[in-house]
Amino acid sequence: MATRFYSWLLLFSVLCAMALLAGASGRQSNSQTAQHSSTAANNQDALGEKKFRTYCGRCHNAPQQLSPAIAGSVLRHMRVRAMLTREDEQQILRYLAP
Amino acid sequence: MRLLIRWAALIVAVCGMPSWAQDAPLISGGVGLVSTTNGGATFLQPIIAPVGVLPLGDHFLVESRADLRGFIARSGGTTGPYEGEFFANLEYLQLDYLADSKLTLTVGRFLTPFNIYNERYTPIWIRNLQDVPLIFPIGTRTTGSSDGVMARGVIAGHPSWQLNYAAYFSASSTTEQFASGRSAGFRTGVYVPNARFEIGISYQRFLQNGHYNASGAYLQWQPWVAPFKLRGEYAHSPSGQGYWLEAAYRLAKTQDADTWLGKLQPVFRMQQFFRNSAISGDLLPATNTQQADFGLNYYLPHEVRLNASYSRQFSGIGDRNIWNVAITYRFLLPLARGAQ
Repeated sequence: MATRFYSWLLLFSVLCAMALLAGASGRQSNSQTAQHSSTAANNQDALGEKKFRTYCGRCHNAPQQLSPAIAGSVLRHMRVRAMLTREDEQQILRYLAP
Repeated sequence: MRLLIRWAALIVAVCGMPSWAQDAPLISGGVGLVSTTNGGATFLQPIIAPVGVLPLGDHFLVESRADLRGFIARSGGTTGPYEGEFFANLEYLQLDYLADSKLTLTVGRFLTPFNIYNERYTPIWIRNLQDVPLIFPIGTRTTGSSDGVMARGVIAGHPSWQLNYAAYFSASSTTEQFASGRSAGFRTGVYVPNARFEIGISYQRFLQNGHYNASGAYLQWQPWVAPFKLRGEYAHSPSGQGYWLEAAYRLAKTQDADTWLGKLQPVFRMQQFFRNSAISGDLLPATNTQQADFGLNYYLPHEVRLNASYSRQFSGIGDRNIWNVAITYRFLLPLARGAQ
């Protein structure tokens, strides 16, 4: 039983290594993205998007459609769930419902 | 059925309210159909898990989530006619007072904040694999929910790191839909936003049917350079100890890629549980168990996701295969008009 399990463990390690290698290969294109983002650092939308990916994207993707009428409610809900600060909540709200 | 009626009454009442600016009440959640074959026995679970959110002023929030599911299986396990049962479970119904970033006070029924799986990954449209980890019952007895009070927030914040916490006390309850164990505990973690890396610990003192401690640790990492997610937990109790570690990789440069390949997400999870002494009702595997889970998610348009997974479980009482196929849909709707 243990031998078979450690076979799975080896496979898992290989998968992790592949993922990290893929990440490294994508670093060049991501650095271009980062450069582009830095030029828009003063833009509140860019900041809000980064905050969204930082906090909300830990668990789930962005909703494909979001009614402006409930954007504040969604953020209040996530402020409790994801333990956002008030500042983070406002920045993400400006991104989701400008 | 009574839970359904209460939810329907709440929706009707809220729909009649006046319009809001950006904080209208909403209903969200997931709908899904999960087919599982575990050791040769197949069962189907149609699931609706609605979430209701009602902001009250600038500082108060009412939130609730229910889990309504059918369980359709052969009467004899692998033989006999299919029979169905219906289960309704109220997972949380809480009133939050958001004092400031450092403190949110919660009263009512809430998800027990032990490690991160229970609070963050239980929604069927979020979890990468439909089966919960083997160690999930540790720290979440008796139902995964607690009835009592909780304080949580970001106790210390810095642009490069945040120290968050959640501390709670729960009373014992056997009331239908509000069952919980008497316990107290806390969770605290450090989150590094620039690396999207979080690590933390949990502790629970279970205060009924013999007092004992449960402790745990967790980590989560989502590097910026690749759509890769790594999550894991370790938990220990007198019943035993174990861990799970899950890796998911979206085959795209970004999380929102629209190519057919970019919508694919392979998932792998490894788990081990080591049994110590048996405690009645601990819901953990009876013997030492190891499991490897392979999953494949496909993100369709309109918040629909397909899941398929295969698990091989190695246990002292026999090895087995577990297959899961699921389709889930996430919905998010206002329950009242927004201001014009």
